[in-house]
Amino acid sequence: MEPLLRVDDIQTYLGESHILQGVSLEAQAGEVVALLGRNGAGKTTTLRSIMRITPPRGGKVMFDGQDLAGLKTHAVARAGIAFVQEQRAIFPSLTVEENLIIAQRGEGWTMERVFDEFPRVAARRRNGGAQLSGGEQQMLAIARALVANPRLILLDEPSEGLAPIIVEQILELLLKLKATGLTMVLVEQSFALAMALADRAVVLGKGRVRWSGAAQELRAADDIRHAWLGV
Amino acid sequence: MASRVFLRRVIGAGLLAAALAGCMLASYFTQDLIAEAAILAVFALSLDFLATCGLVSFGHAGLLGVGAYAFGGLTVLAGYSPGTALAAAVLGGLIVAMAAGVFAVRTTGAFFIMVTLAMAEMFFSWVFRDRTFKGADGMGGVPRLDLSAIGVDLNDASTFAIFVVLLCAAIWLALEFLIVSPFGRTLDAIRQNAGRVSALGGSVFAYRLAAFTISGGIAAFAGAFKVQHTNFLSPDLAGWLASGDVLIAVVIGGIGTLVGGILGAAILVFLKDFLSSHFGHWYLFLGAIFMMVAIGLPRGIVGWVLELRGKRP
Repeated sequence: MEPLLRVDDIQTYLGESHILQGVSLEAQAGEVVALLGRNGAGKTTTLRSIMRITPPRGGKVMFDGQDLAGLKTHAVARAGIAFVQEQRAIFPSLTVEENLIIAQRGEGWTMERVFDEFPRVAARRRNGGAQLSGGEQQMLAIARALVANPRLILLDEPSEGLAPIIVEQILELLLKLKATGLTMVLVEQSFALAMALADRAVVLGKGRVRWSGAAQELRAADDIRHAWLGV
Repeated sequence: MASRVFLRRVIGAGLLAAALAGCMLASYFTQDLIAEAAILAVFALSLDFLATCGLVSFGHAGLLGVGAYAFGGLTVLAGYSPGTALAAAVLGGLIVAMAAGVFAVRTTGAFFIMVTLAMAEMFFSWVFRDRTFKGADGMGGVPRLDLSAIGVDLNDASTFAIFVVLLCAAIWLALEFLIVSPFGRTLDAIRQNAGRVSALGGSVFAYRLAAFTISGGIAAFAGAFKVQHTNFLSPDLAGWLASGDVLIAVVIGGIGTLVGGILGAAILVFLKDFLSSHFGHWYLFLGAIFMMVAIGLPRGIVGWVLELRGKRP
């Protein structure tokens, strides 16, 4: 079956630095793929390349049979990919509601439905983005991705900087979303969180894919984990 | 605690009441200043609305000039009625802003300032040299709207002042509603972080172009009333000094607050009048006051008041 997302040998440069030196990965519809690796391995750059925030100079990104080459970032988003960026990327001077309203698109996930699913976000609907705690901001960022009704969500380190108890709640939430059949590509430093969510894993190191396979196999692949993840 | 939106509207209502009282009670000369301030306030609103999406123009007088010259040219030279000329002036402002915006809004920050300045100076040098509109000499005899059908005589100073104050209030209210709409909130989000908005699927270019176009229509509307007020058309109303004046008004009042532009316009007009009747080098004093506000109240007067009420949106 043709995967929903197919990243094929992409080459991405930041300035003159050759960051991604041929990264390939696939995500089937309904699958959660974890993108793992040390700091600087190219995980975030891979997501940014898919969104064409840092457009790859070589290789190909296919989404649902459509070649994303030449599209602007907003057009990639409109094609059905939502990006939950690092550091949450909430608009601080917009209210929680306004953060959602400006992203609302399509049918399925409405603002009311996300408020039902995210009571902690709902409780702060009239508060400014800057007044939210880190965990609330992360939930809002995920909620904001949902109201765009994407077919694929790219998640960049959802656990970053959050207390373990909050990470637990985020994980629960993401498991719920996975159960609805949502496709996700997840960049994560927390090996435990990634393993709890992912069906498949891709290990990046120094801008190349070092390993890919079923998430369960990665647990057993001690040499890979030691060499490229340090866990 | 009152929200910022509510406070903004209270300040606006207060200014409107003061202006209307002034129109009815004050001397002829003060009424004239109120009319001037109200027209500058409409112009300031157009600039501040654009600033919602993070763009600060230093050539907005060019768009005001498009409206002024369209109105003056069509009435004085082509003999059209002021009503038709007003509609054409606004349409002209929208079209010119959209065409200029296609190039200008691709840039931001200092580059946007320079591009808008350059475009406005192109317009300025054209009307300055071209004899169609009598060039640098300017052109008199620009008529005011004829509302005699509804029993309103705009040639009366008090009536004209009330009329432009009400127009300013109407435009302000319309923009107040526009900036809290999803469209307006997206513009504000673009100001905060344009990259995030495009990652959410919003075309930053399209939003900025729409804001610039709307802003141009309002600036041209202000221009059409500026020439009706003085009955005179001259190139300096489109020059960079005029662009600077309106920017000063917005910064003093509080950029990104809408009502701040109105307050700033009123302060600027009355301060200019006061300073110029006492000092020859009044721009020197205006400059000093501007610097003090810029350093002491970087968010302007209204911005400072809103800040006192906390961070709540």
